[in-house]
Amino acid sequence: MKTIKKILVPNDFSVKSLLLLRNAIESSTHQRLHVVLLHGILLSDSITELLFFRKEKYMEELCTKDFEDACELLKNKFQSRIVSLRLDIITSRDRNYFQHYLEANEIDEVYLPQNFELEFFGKRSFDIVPLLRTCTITPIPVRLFVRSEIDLTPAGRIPPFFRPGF
Amino acid sequence: MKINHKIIYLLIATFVIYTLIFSGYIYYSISEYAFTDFYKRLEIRAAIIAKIEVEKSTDVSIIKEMHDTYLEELPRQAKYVIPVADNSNRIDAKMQGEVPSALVRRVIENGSAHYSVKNKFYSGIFYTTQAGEKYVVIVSAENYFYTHHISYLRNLLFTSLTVGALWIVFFSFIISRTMDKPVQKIIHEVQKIGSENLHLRLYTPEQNDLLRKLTVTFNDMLNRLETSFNTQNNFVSNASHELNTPLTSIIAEADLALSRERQPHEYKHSLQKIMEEAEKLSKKTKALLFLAQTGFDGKSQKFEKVRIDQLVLDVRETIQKLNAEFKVSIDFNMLPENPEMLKVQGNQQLLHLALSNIIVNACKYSDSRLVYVSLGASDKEVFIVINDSGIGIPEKELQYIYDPYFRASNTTNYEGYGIGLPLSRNIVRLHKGSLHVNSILNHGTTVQINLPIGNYKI
Repeated sequence: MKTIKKILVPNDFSVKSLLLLRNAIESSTHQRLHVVLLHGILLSDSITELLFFRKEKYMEELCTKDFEDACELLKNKFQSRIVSLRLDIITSRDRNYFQHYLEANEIDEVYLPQNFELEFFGKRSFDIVPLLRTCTITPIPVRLFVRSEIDLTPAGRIPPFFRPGF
Repeated sequence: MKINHKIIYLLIATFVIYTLIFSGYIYYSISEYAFTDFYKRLEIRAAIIAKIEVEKSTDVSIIKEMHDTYLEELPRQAKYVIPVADNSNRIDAKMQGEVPSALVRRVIENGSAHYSVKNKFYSGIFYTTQAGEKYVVIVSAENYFYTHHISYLRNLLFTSLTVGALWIVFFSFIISRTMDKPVQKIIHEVQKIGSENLHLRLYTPEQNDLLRKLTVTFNDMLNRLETSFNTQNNFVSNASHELNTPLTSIIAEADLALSRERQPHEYKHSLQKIMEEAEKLSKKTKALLFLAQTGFDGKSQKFEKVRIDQLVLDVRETIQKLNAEFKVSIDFNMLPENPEMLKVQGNQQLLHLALSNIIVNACKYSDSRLVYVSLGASDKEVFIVINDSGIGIPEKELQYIYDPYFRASNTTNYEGYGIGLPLSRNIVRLHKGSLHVNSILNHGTTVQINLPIGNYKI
């Protein structure tokens, strides 16, 4: 299995959602991976915004330093397995659009959170999980284990990673 | 201030001297020019008057006409036509009038001369008529320019000079005050810092200049001092607390054994217990002494390669020597694959001390429940996260936890002096890292330490 597979994981720019990625990587059978972290955000109605639309601008707004640190942490942990880690945005709920997106980016595997929800605190962010469920590539569900006693301890910056059992 | 004053005085003196020379030169040149100019005018008049008065012919009428029309009369103009006696060069004193004799003699000797007294100017020529008669013709007048204009110029120059000097003095003081003020502020702030509030720091200004460098250097020095100071404090307070318990047991046991006559085996039993406690005491002392080292090898604090994963394991060992009840679980799940990412440039002993303080706190305030320590690394920093499920810190008091000797309101049942956390933060700061604390009351506390990676190449 020398080829590098491309996987897609939904993302809400929270450190907690990266746990999904971690479990996905650990459960993936492929050795080397390109990772795409996908977030859904609807375009605004303003003409100026449409004219000057740049993906990077939206991502810069939503991305926090803690999130970036956590991404790097994961990259370093799985240094030999993650070939590249990319954040990306889709702007429409349309199924065909999403299908084209998958084909254009040559996605091989798609992962779904099974027992928890992503939380969206962006104004126009939408959940892409329903899209994932109905796309042509069969999504692979990923479980997150929650130990209630530890879950009550305060969320620091990176700490959700460091809850044992996750 | 002395240096400042010297500079000010020098500047003022230079300015004043320069302006004095400048205005003096202008004044002198104009004076000279005015003199020469005026004498010339008098000479012309003398020549013309000589021609008119002495030459008795009809040609002079034209000259007279010119004289009257074009040559205006100078203020207090007076003419003296003095005939000179032949061959003896003597003159009639009556004709001389106010003209000084010295002038007359000079005119006779040199052919023309001038003289001035106060603002009366004399200019004379020696005239020989066509008929051979000799005359000394002298014209005198008052130099209006000299009386009025040049004195006005002189006053003007003086006032400008004075005003300029005053202005420069005023300005220099303002400038020196502005330069003085930040330094005065620093002096004022530094005076407040003493051994009881070594945690104060100077306010660093925004602009990247010499003053900012000074305050940054000073703050760094304070960091180092406070760390050393607090390390000693820490040791003293830890020692008095930790060493007390075993000592109390030893004393109690011995006391009990001596209270009455006992069987040998009872004595043996007592002695054994005392032996155990003494050994515990010895271990604790060693651990505390180890912690009390400030990493100072006699000359400077050594900064070398420290592997954080090894450090965490070492700290766990130390802690369990201090108190066997403390339980620490280390999670290496998120370690980076590349071990170079875990190497930090730092002082092994200081980092050991910082980390052990935090972990001891975590264990202490969670009644010896399990404490989790985890490690991970991003591209630039190493993260050490210490998670406990203890009593937590009230939200309102979170901002005070770094103040030395501060203890939160829910710590009354626990021993402590409020020194461990500020010390740890200082040590982390010394290593150019950062420390963050999050807590939920009665649920637990999370401490995250970020340390910059040492960028050691393999």
